[in-house]
Amino acid sequence: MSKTTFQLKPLIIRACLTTIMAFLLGMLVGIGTVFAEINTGLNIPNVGNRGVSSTNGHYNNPSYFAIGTTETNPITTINYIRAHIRVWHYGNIETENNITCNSCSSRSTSQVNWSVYGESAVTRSDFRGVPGGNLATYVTSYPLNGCTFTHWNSGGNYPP
Amino acid sequence: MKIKASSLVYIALAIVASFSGYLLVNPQATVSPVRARSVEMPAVPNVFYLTMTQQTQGLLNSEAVQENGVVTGQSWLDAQNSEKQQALDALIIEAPFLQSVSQFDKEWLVSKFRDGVVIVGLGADHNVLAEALNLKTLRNSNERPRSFAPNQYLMVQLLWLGQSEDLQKYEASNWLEQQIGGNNTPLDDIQGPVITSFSKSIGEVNSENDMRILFSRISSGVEHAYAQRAEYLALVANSQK
Repeated sequence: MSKTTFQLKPLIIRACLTTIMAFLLGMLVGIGTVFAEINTGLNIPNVGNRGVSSTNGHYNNPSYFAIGTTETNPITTINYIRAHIRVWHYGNIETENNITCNSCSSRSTSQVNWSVYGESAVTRSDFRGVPGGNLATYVTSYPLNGCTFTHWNSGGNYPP
Repeated sequence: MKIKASSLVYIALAIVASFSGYLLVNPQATVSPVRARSVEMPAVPNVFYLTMTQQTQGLLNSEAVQENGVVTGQSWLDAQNSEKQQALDALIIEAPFLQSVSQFDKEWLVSKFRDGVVIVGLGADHNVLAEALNLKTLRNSNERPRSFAPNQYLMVQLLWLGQSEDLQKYEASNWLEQQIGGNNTPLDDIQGPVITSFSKSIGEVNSENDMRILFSRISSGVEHAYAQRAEYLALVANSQK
C-alpha cells in the first residue's frame, strides 16, 4: 500500500506540473491574440465583388482593443471608402473613429480601446465605386461577431 | 543740439508704456511663431494639460502627468507658447477654460482642432466642448444627453486632409456636423484624394485602468494623425504619377 502511494506521488506531481505549465502557456499564447470578423467578396456597385470589411481586435486584461478596416481585394481604387468603428455604452458612444477617403483602395480606423465587458466594437464599411453611384454598406464586429446595424446605430440588438 | 536727460527719460517711458498698452489688448503678440510639425511622429509627442490649479482631478495628478510626459500650464498663453518648442499633438483642458474662452483663444483652439490635435475636455459635456470648437453639436442623434463630472472627459480629434478646393466643398456642406449627427452621405464632385477622420471618446480618470485608457487613446490618436498625414502625401504623389 505504502509502496503504491510512494510511486503515485511523482506521477501526480508531474501531472499537476504539466497541467499548470500547459495552462500558463495557453495564457501566454492567448494574450495579444488577434480575433476578427471578416467579410470578403462584398458587392461594390459598378465594381464587383471586391469589398472586404473587417473588425480586428484583441483583449489585454482588462481592456479590449479593435481596429476597423474597409478595403478592396484585389486592390482597386474606388471613388469613396469609409471605415467607422464604434463602441456604445449605456446610450452614449464610448469611443469611435470615422475615417473616409476619396480615391482610395483601403482605409483603417485608429485603434479604439475600452474596458467594459460585454461591449462590442462594430465597424461600418461603406464603399462607393463611382461618383454618384450607389453606396454599399456592411458591418462587422469584435468580440461579438454578427452584430447588426441596429447595434452600430444605437448599441442595441446584440447577436443572440 | 542738446537733448535734456529728462527728455530721454520721457521718450523711454513713452516707448515702454505704448508697448505695454499694445500687449494689454493684444497678448498674442508675445507668442512667437509656432514650430512646424514634423512629418515623422516625435519620440515624445507634445501633450499639454491646461489646468486651473495643481489640484488633482481623479488620478490625473502631477505624478501621472509627469509619467506620461505631459506639460502643464495655467493659461491659454502657456499652451500657445508651448508650440514654440514643439508642435502640439494633444491638449487636455479643464472645463472652466472652455466655458470662458476669449475669441482669440477660441480661434486658436479651433485651428488646433482642425490641425488634428487631440482635444480632451475634462469635465466638459458635449455642448460645452462643441461651443468652444465652433460646432453646433458633438452628440450623435441617437446619443442621450449626459453631464460630465470634473473627473470625466470627452475627447475629440479631427483630421481634414485634401486640396483646398475640395475641402471648401466639405466645409460648404457642413460635412463634419452631418457626420457627427449621423448623416454619412458622401460628397460628389471631389477632384483629388481627400482623407477625413473624426474620433470621439468618453471616459473617466478615477482608476489606474482609466488612466491607461486615457493615455492609450491619446497616443493612438496622435499616431493615427501622423500616419494619415503620411498616407495622404503618398496618395497625392500616386495621383500625380
